[in-house]
Amino acid sequence: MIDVEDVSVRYPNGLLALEAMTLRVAPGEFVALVGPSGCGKSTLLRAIAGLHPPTGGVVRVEGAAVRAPSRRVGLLFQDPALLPWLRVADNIALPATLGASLATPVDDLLTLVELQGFGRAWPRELSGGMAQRVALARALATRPPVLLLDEPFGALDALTREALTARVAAITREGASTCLLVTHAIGEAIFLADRVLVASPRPGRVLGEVVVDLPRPRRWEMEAWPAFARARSEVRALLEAGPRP
Amino acid sequence: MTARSAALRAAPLLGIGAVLLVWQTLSLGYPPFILPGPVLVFNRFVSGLASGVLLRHAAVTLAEALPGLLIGAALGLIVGIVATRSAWVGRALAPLIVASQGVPFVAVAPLIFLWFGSGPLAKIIVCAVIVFFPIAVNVMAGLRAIAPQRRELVAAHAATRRDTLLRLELPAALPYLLAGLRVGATLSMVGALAGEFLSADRGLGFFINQAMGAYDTALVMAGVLAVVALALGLYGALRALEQALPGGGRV
Ligand SMILES: Nc1ncnc2c1ncn2[C@@H]1O[C@H](COP(=O)(O)OP(=O)(O)O)[C@@H](O)[C@H]1O
Ligand SMILES: [Mg+2]
Repeated sequence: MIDVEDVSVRYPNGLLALEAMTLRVAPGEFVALVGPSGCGKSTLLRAIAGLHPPTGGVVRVEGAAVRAPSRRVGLLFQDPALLPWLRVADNIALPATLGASLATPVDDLLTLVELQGFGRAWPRELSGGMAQRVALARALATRPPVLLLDEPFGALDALTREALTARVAAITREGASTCLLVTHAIGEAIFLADRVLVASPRPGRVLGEVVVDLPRPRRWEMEAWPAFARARSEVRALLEAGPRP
Repeated sequence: MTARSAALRAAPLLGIGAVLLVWQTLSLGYPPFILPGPVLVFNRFVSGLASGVLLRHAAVTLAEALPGLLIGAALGLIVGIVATRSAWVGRALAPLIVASQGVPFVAVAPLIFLWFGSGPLAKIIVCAVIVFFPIAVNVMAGLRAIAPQRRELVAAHAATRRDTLLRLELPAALPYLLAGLRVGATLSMVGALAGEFLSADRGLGFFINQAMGAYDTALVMAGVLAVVALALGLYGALRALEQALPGGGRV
């Protein structure tokens, strides 16, 4: 469970990136937060991950107030940030060398992200999509109860992006993890989430929410379904209405 | 393409051959104590090797340059890490580091001899002082070049400072350290030789000095040849170490 209560973040240079942001992700729920670039989405995830303490408000993960990074939270960011001196398998097992214990054997993780046989490859031998799948496997290696995703496929081409999004949907639902995705891609948010929250421009606050009424497992054909189109236009409307006075 | 690549491979040999040819031709016009030819120098080099004299002196020089290199590198590594971890130490060291870039530290050798005598210890210290700064500068550059995403990744795993050092910072700085070591190896040879030129009763610097005193130019050149061989050997060993690194030749 993620509980963000009245959280504000002001950077040392005085810039107010988030103001009184409140949101809640129930256990096992997948929530997406959609907002324009620079509205403080990454800032919010950093605060939840304990990487940057909020200047106001409280973040609770699994009931405990977040003060520092915790092994109960897995991260998948836009940059796979693989370590070039480690082979793929060792990159996936990185959490183990940093004191965590792996919940799933590396070979199974490789299978999960469809990279069987690439364990001994070096990161520089991978395509962007493969590197991001390695990062996904690394994020899942400790089977964290909470998974934070920050525009995880933003740097990839459209086809790879769709395939990986579907993969993430399947994996996170099987694992029943509590997930918070932040993105500016509306389609991706609807595809993955149970609920889509819409954030205002900086300083980001939640403008409203759209419940996604689509069955699981999700498939990309559903993009043509009326429920998908309805969710999309509701999100659009919220984004365009902007902050209420 | 094969003819082209064969020609490319032969080019360095041709270059060396040309130099030797010009050298041999020139030497015909001068007495050997001014310009001995390559053949004569090579003969003196080989007989020096055979009698063990060159190896004995080379071993002395290496026994100064190598410990100096290792001590200077270890100190440079430690100071580089501390200077990047603590903003205060980094700022305190910054003017020294900047100034050091333009200072020929060999110049302090006489001072070190004054304080530590002129035995092997003093020469090791000279080498270490010369090697220290480029290594420290390189290590700092390596640590500062770590992408913030990678730092964040490791931090997000609740890594301890020790694990951050071992799993992220040291591996990331290693290529920079090795590049520094390659420069340092040459500098360390310079330090050892300068020390031996100044004051010594053994070592290749002493050997060369002595041959000069005897106006035995061919022997001087044989000594220089030994220095070159030693420096290249050290450089080659470090190069091989770099190549053997996991992910060899990575950025
Ligand atoms: N370390 C920082 N220091 C100062 N300002 C920052 C820092 N990181 C981000 N910002 C600013 O905070 C705002 C929100 O950034 P971010 O959370 O990255 O937005 P988003 O992820 O929604 O695009 C932006 O205006 C950005 O320039
Ligand atoms: Mg962002």
